[in-house]
Amino acid sequence: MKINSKLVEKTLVEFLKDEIKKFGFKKGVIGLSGGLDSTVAAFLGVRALGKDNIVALILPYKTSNKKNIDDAEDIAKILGVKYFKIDITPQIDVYFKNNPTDNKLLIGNKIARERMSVIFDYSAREKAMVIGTSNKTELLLGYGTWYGDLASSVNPLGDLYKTQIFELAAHLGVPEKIIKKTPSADLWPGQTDEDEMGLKYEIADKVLYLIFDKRKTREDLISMGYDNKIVDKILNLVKRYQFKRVLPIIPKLSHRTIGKDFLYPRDWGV
Amino acid sequence: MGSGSKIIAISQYKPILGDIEKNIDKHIKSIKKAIEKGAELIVFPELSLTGYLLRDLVYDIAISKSSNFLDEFKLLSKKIDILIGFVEKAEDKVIYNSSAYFSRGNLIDIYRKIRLPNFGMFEEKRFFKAGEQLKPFKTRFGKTGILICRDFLFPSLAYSYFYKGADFLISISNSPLRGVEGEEYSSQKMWEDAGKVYSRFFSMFVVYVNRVGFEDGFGFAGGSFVSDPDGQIIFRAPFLEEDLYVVELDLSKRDKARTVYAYYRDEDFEQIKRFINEGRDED
Repeated sequence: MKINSKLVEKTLVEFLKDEIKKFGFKKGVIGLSGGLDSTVAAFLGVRALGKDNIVALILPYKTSNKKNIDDAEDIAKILGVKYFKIDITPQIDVYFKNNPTDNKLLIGNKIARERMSVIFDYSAREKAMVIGTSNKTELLLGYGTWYGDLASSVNPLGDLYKTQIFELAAHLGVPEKIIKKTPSADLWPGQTDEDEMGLKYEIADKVLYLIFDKRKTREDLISMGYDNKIVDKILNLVKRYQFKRVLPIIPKLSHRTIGKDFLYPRDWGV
Repeated sequence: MGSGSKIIAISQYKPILGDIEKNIDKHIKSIKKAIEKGAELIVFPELSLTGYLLRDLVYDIAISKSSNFLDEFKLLSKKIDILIGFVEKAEDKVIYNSSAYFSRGNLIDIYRKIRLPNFGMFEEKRFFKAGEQLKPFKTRFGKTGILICRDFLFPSLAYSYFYKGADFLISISNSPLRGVEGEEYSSQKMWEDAGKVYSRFFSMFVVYVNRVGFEDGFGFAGGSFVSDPDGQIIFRAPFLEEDLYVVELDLSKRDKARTVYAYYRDEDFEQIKRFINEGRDED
């Protein structure tokens, strides 16, 4: 599972340069949370497009951990990029005042989608493409808000497992305090990814890697000593959240249907 | 068979997806540069006129070998041999992933990719018919054989050229990079291993030209190379960089290898044919 971080960096930097330029943009916007993934995406973005062409958005809600917000600001300053800090509490609170709930997940998803909405708004204001920050582990496990943090135009991190992002971060010179932080979506106080998923990244990544990258079977993993409950839990999550990884289903009526036999590349005509 | 030194140009090219006219302009610029550098041949990658991830765009950009789009190449080939890749619509309206070799004012060879990849990320059989012909043709570099991308990973095809007397092999490619665990992309080693083996044991120069750039997140590695009849990589282009490279080939090295190493002399093609015709051993 180890990666050659230098080679990965070169590939992702070239990818961002090529893809963003092709669509007629010079700039990228990134939501910075103070966590590892968005920091790594921002480091790559700056190397690809230059610090003057990355715009960072720091979007705290009233329950956000202050330390994360400070760290996000620090990262923006270290990278020397323009950043906007916008408190999204008013619009979230007004919504839940009118539509009350105490379901943390509903509130968390709403926050994630509000951030997406602000990031896309700023992408238009800044004439920039939205650079995504979802890693392969969360994409496979469906650990992200659909049309929230999972939304972006280009996602340089989508083929790297979380543990590989740690490696890449160290190579890129991401500050230690970011690398050492416990991964968290910070959608409510005390939330951590591993507690919420009930899985350790180290194990989840290995299981996903063996099954999907190395094409091992469930039985292979169990005979290798992996706990069958954990393996099944992971496989079920991957299946259950397949919908988050594809576009909405369109029922076929005509002879040429989007998503079925209307087969054009994304990079069509750019 | 030509002897002495010849300069060739490798265009590690980044096509504009689905835009033949813009690609032709880009080709012409590279060709003129290659002429200035004294090259006698310029090789572009697979599907250089169109880009790779075409899918349904193949229907819009397929052209026949007599298309006016190819006129400029004929003209320029009075000064330099030119190999390009394109989507070919044949006389019977079937679409192929083809190459065109221009020399001395004429289109002298069309080669159609034989082993279309159709698994995992590849879906070429959905859009192309596989070629069925393999014929080396005479150029100033010797008896020249063309392979397109995955064709090169079938030693049987390179061997077929060897049998037919080819002594100069050009492989044009659109190989997506993959495998980032080691020193280099693991996909690169596969191509170089094949190149080294063919050039050594078939006593040929092998010219491998791969494209660069990204399409829908597929990155094309570049890493174009030339291997010589000693099985050595004598030139290798960097990864991911679009550029024109010139390489000098000492063709006398090949002629000597064919005489001294005598792989061609000592191969017994009739015997190999007999082995194959005897059928498989069922045990």
